[in-house]
Amino acid sequence: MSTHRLRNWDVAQDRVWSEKQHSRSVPITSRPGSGRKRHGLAGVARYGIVPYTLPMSAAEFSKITIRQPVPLKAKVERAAALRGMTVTSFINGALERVADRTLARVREREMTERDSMALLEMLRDPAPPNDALRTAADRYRKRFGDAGRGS
Amino acid sequence: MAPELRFEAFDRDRHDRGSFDCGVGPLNDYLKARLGQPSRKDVTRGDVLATPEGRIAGYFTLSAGRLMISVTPEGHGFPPRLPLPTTLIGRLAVDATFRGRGLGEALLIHAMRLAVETSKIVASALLEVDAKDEPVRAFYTRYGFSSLPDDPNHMYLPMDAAARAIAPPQP
Repeated sequence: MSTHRLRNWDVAQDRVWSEKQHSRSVPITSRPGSGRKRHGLAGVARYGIVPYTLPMSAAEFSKITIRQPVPLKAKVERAAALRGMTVTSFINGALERVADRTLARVREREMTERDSMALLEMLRDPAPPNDALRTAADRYRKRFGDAGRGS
Repeated sequence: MAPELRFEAFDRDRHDRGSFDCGVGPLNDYLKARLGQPSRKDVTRGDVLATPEGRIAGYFTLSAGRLMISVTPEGHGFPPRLPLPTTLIGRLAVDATFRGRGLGEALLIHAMRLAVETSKIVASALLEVDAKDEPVRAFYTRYGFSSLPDDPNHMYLPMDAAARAIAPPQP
C-alpha cells in the first residue's frame, strides 16, 4: 500500500508529482488554501472545463488522506496523465461522479432496465411459496398460533 | 424455554436491550441505541420475540420502501416509470444463546404475517430484505426470496407468495 495525500484542488502538485513519479509513495502535501491564491485562474485555463464542482474560495478546500494499493496508484497516475490532469483533480472528478450516482440511487432506488424487467416478471406471475416457506409457516402456526400477534 | 417466548412490539422501557448479543456488532448496537428512539418511531418499527421477563431472543424491523422501476417493456400493463411500494425487513437477528431453535425462521414468518396484514390496508407489492453477505442470502434464498441480476444485495419475495404461505391451511 502507499499513501496518497489528496487535496481537493492543488495545482502545485504537478511539480511534486513529476519530480517523484517514479517513487512508490508520493505524499502530495501542500498547505490548504494556498492554491487559488497563488495560481489564480491558471488552473482553470490549464484544465479547460474542470470536471468537478470547484469551490469558490480557498477556504473551502479540505484534505483526504487515503491508502491505496501501489498498482492502483500507478494506474490512476497513468490515466490522469493521459487526460492531462493532476492526480488530485482526476480523483476528485471521479469521486464526485460516483458519489452523485450513489446518492441518486439511494434517494430513490432506481433500478436498471434489466432488474426492472426481472422484477415485473416476478410480479406478473408470482411463484407460489416454496416448500420450505410453507413448512416454516406451519411450524409457526403450531408454535405460536394466532396468539403470536404482539400487542 | 422456547414455548414461553412471545412476539411483542418492541418497547424500550420494557425490553432488556442491553443483554442482546447476536454476534453481529451493528445489529446489537442498532437494538441498543437506535430502535424505538422517539425520533425514529415513525420511521422503523421493531418487533421482538421475548421472554415474559423482557429478555429479547430475537428481533426484526419493518418499514415501508419504494422501488422506482425505470423502464417498462410493452405488455406488462404498467406505466413507464412506476414507483412500487415495498415492505422492508430491515434487520432480523437472533440472540446467540437462543440459536438452534428455529427462531430466525419464526421471526421471518411473523414479519411476513405483519406485512401481509398491513398490505391489506396499505398496498405493498413485495417484501424486500437487505442481504449483504452469503449466510444472509442463503437464509432468505431457502424461503424463496430472490435477488435481481444487477443488484445482489437486495432480495425480494412477492407479497402474493407471502400471503399464500401465511394463509391458514385449507381444510
